[in-house]
Amino acid sequence: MKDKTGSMISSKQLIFVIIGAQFGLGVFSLPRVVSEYAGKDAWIAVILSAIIPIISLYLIERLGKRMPDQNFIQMTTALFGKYIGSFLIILFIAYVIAFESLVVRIYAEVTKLYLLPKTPLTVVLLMYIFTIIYIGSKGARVLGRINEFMFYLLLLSFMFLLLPLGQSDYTNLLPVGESGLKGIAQGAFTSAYYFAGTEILLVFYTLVNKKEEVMKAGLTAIGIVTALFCAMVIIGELVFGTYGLQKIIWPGLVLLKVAQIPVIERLEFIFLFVWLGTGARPTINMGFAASLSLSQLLRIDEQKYHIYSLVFVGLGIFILALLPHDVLAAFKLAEYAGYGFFVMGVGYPLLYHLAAFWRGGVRMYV
Amino acid sequence: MFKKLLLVFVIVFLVFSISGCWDYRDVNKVSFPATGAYDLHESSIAAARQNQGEPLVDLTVIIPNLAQDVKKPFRIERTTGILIGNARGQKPYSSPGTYSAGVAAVIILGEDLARAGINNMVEALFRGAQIPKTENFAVAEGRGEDVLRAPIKDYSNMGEYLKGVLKQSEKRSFIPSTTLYQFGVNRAPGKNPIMPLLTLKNQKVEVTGTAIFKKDKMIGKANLDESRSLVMLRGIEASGNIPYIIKKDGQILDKGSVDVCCGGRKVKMDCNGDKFSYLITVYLKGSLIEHEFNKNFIQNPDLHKMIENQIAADTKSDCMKFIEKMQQEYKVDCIDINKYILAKWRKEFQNQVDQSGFIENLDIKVKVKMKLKNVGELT
Repeated sequence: MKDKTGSMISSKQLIFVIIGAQFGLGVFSLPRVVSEYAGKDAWIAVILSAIIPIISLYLIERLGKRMPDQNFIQMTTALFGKYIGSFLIILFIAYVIAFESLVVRIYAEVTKLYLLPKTPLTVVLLMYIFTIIYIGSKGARVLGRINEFMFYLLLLSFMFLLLPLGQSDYTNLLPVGESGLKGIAQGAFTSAYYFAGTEILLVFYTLVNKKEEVMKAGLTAIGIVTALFCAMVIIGELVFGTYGLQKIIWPGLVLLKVAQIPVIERLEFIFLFVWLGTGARPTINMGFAASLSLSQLLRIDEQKYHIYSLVFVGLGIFILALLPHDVLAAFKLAEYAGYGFFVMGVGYPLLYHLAAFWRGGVRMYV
Repeated sequence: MFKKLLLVFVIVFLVFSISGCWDYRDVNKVSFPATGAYDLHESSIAAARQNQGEPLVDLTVIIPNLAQDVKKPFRIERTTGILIGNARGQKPYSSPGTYSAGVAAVIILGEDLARAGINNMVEALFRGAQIPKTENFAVAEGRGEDVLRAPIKDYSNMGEYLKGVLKQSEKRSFIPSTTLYQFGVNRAPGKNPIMPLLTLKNQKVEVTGTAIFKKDKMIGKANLDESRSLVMLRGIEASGNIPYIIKKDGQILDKGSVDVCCGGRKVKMDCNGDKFSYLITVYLKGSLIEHEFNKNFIQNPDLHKMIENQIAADTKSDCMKFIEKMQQEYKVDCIDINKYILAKWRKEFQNQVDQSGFIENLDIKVKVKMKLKNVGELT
């Protein structure tokens, strides 16, 4: 597979691609959203919620092993036939466009709120869409490298979040287990949305050169994301407490506004400059996956015409991103879109396994 | 070809659309307030004291003049509105240039406003994304506006002076430094904010104590000595000078002063049925600054220990007096100990800790551990 769009990536790059697909600006609202249900036990809920992406990873990896030489499109048409298969692929592409439009919208809202308050939303959105299209047009390998580079930037910028710990109060995390099983389960269910992005493996599985390392790479990625999510929630709880968290839309960002550091008066601006690149990764990665699926579905020359499907996907994301009338409406829609992750990340692979079993049974295993 | 065209288009678009077009501002035409004061409007004070009507608030700000060749280095502006954001919104009618609220380092609250409650007043500060949460808060005895209008000689404006006095004040004295963020988190169940108290005396602004709050309403004042006990009991890491006098049989054995650093506290809580008891251990360490000239540490080996014991005993006595005042007069947990009950039994006590009678019935004991780290260059 040497074509422009389908350049192979290493299993190490897969780790960064999965992290990139999962880890976006959502992490800044995560402490508020999870603690709404799980209270002081939000961090426990986050750890438990990692079960969902692990299930998703396992199902997709097993599916890939069943049909190792077939990409997502070939696999779908082989299992479901031309019409139902095409419908399922289009549904996947539509899900990615809808989901990522909300990611981009929230991303643009953060940029407008903190950095460019008077710049029109459409301009901010277009700047991101162009970036997504441009990076996507460079192929999977470049995408992998960018994800790797941005991951290190992300780790570096995450260090900033340790600064407000001087204001922390450990009693904010006590008593442990107060929310009860129901609260923690509800928190875990909500937190699971934030792991959306694992389903990118449906498309990327065939692009990985060492398939036997996919599971290990996936688990590493989910482990890192869980640790970072958990750290963010614990820091948020320690600094603001559950009561304070509920009053802030993006506690992760406001954290940077409580630290008093000599010389640097406005830490959040420096942090956001780094995050302008880092936070866009989910859309870049998922947008690439959707456009690649579209190119393969339409059977167009991927080397020559992939850019058109990228533009189509980018345009779709742009138009849908304009629909929510404000950021709170976008959050509400993102909650619904979160259900889409369960459908695409867990429901799809399960359905494919069932279809494979129905059609070929265990013979299709390698 | 298409890709090249797209790239050119993207570059042209980005160059012409990035922030400069819409978010460009000429710094010389922006008003950057150095300090703000929030007060009840004169017409609203009487009504607010009786909890009647919707009060109007005054926003007074010091704005340094950035333009060259101006006669005065700053100007003071006052606007009025139903809330602070509204008062801020009146500025364009009387003041040229764009007003940038995000740079004020200190906010002074007038006493009447602080007593009426400030939740609604500071909402605009919490909501504003451009506003840092590290702005320092203080309460002024009387009107905050009077503090800003007080003459200032050695600083470019009152804002600079207040910034120097209030920013991280606990590092130089036993005065709590309260930021917007700290005020926000201390409104949570079981917690209560405190703020430095400013007084205008003989045309000079001084810190004279601490304002005690019950959630967002000021309910009392602590003088400087009480503030020291409050800071220590609250576990705030602070430094300051403490005097001591050692007496034996009515005679003064030694007197002097020690620069003491409060290294926090340790709280032990016991529950016996419905009765809670606390033991707060305050940890102090310090350096001897001065004492009786003829007293020699080599010839008086016990003196080192006697100074430590005297400061520990004085501090304990002051702390116990403050606790008594807190339980009998303020009747709110201003030393932040209810959180230990909530850390164990949050569900059971969350609604009770802020009720009247709760803090009054706690059995609170204090232990002080003082360590004199060094005695300077003299023997």
